[in-house]
Amino acid sequence: MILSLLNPYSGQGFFSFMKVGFLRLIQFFQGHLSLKTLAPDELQILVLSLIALSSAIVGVFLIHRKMTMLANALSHTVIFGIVLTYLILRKSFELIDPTLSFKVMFLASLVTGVLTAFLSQLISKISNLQKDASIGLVFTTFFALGILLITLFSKNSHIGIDMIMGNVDALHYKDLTSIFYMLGCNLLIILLFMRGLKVSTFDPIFSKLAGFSPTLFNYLIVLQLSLTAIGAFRAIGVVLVLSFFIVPPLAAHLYATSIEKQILIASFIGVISSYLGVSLSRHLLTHYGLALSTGGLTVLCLYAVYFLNRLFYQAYRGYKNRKAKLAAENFTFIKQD
Amino acid sequence: MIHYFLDPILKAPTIGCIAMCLVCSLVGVLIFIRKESLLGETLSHAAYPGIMLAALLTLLPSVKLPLTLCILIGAGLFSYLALKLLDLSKKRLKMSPDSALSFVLTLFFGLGITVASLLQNTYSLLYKQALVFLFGQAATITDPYMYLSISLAVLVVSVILFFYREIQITNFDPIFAQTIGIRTQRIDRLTYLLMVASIVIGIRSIGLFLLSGMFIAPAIAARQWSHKLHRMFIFSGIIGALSGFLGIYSSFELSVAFSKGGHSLSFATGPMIILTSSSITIFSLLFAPKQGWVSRFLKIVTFKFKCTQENILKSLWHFAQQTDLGVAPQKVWNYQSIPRISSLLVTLYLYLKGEILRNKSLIMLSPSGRIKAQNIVRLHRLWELYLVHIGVGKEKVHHNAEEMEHIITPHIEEKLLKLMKHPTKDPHNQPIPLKEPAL
Repeated sequence: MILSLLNPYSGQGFFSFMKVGFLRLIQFFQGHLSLKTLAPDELQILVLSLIALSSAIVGVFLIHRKMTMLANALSHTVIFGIVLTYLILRKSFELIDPTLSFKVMFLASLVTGVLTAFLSQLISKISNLQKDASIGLVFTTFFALGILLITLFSKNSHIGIDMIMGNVDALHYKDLTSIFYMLGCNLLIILLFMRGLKVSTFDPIFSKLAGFSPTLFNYLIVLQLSLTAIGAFRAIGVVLVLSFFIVPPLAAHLYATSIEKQILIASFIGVISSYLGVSLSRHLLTHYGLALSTGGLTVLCLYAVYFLNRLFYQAYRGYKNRKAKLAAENFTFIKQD
Repeated sequence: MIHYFLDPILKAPTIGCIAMCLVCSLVGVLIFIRKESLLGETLSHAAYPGIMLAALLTLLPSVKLPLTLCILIGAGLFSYLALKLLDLSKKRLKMSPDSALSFVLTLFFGLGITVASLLQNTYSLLYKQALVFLFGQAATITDPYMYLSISLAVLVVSVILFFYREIQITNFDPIFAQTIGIRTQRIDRLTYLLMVASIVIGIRSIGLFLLSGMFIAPAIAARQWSHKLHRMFIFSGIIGALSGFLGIYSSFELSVAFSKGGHSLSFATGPMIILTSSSITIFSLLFAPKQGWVSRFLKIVTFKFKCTQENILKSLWHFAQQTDLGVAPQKVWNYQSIPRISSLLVTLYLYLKGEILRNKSLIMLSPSGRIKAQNIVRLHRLWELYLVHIGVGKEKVHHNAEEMEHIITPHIEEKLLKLMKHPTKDPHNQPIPLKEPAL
């Protein structure tokens, strides 16, 4: 009750949500509000948007390199890394434990991420297997180990669910810092290695000749991927972060003419969907009394934006085609004259 | 172990698990040869909203079906829907197969999470019942469910047996299949239907998060043991059923073994089954007779060992042409391109075998070693001659002959001799030693 009194957004609908947000934004710029007094809804929007920005950067490359199922595999194995870290640093087995430092989790995720990518490549190379199959073998094994460890060392057998599905409503102010770190790392990598990433994505052979090792950049992407997955797992879980990786870049793919533009458009779409998701969740709670998962709703919003975008694009293409046809007819008409 | 099949409480989980794993691993071979191994991952995750929605639907007064049946129908329906959407996004939305798989996966998963949160917040008892299908709970499988999975297993096996020819031709040569009148699209559809059916049955024991492992691992393992499709099916089925049984066995036994002191540890069945099948697969990857890493590694090592032996004998033979007194081993080893220590070991081996004799600190060939060395030199010079015969320059033939001398079989040697009309001199004008019978 106290919480709902403190939260300025409780009891708001979809449109009044926007109004309250806008007013609070003005207050913030006037200096009446500080970052420490963020309302839970604002925190959610902020966290989801930052995740969307990070994953747009990584996702665009994933799409072009056809690595999204590897991303899926990584997001599963990261669980194993997290569980192992908990076991090693165990004080009490509380899974959602904000005291576990970001650094440790970061390290664990990096190790498991790179290990997954390395092992699946190794197996497919040595045993001459399809890449899909070796990825599947590695990640299901790690994932099974992770789930086994969770069920073994925690009394609650279904505690893994929070990890897989995330819980936006349990976000803490401290989470912002780790997500800022994650975005900073991603931005730094992209600024430093943009050329190499681009070249190794679109023309691996040329990139080898030009001195950008495709394998090295492959692992750089894997690194970014596990970093982003670990940053996002508290908010939206390890499976749903995959949708942030792929849906905005796919939507942006229709319009973008360059990688930079695709990243920008994808981030825009991700941020818009995060806002829509959170406000929709609030709206449903206020007017229909439905307490739905904000993470899930945000993902559904992403897909809604994708399909609307697609429809709009097709209508636009149809209009352009008709115009072009008309112009062509007029042209032949004039010629005949 | 037998009591797992007889005990009234353990019978249903054991037999049910074995049947499910058998079905999944057989269907796994089908998707493995279609190179769509990760399809299982997407389709099994897609069942999630189906499970949750079906659980919600049972609240309606007009729905009279039991919860489990409702959930199974819902799961199947949504898996099938995902299949259709996958097709659509590849064809109409023009995504790469990889993107399409994850696109569909997260769409259904997001939907599932949204519905699940509704269920969790309002009807938490129902939610707990539905959770069984996410992580699997083999221990609570009942008799009717066991019969259901057995009948499905029988169905899948008979479908594969009945359509074996069509499946084989369609997957390996679709164009040929069409020309001889097989409706390939029907076979494809049949494959996917089997897949959906096995997902529906499998989620109860392994859970939808881990189920995809059962489609992948046994097929990979089976591939290591055989190249033939029918053998792959048989091996995969055996491995699947075995890991189903071992999974449930180890899960029960370990849980009992570790639960003696006041606190209990439970080894979940789903992960244990997956871990068992993964271990079998890793074992196969390592030790399968033809393709296994270890056997291939051993093959390479034995070949290198043989080459080094022959090289050492050969260099000793060359030294023997100059002097009868023997030669210091270091001098011989300088000619080898391998580490000193391996040369030393191989020399020691040859000494023990009696092909090298020792004269204080010098070594020389024994009569049997001399015959072996002569044969190698013979093959070397014969091959050089042959290369010149087919038009390779004289100065280029040595290096190729260095490699071929270890590979030429007696049969090829005979053919070469016949072709060159039993020559006596090689291209560098050196004598080709005659073949002497072994001592």
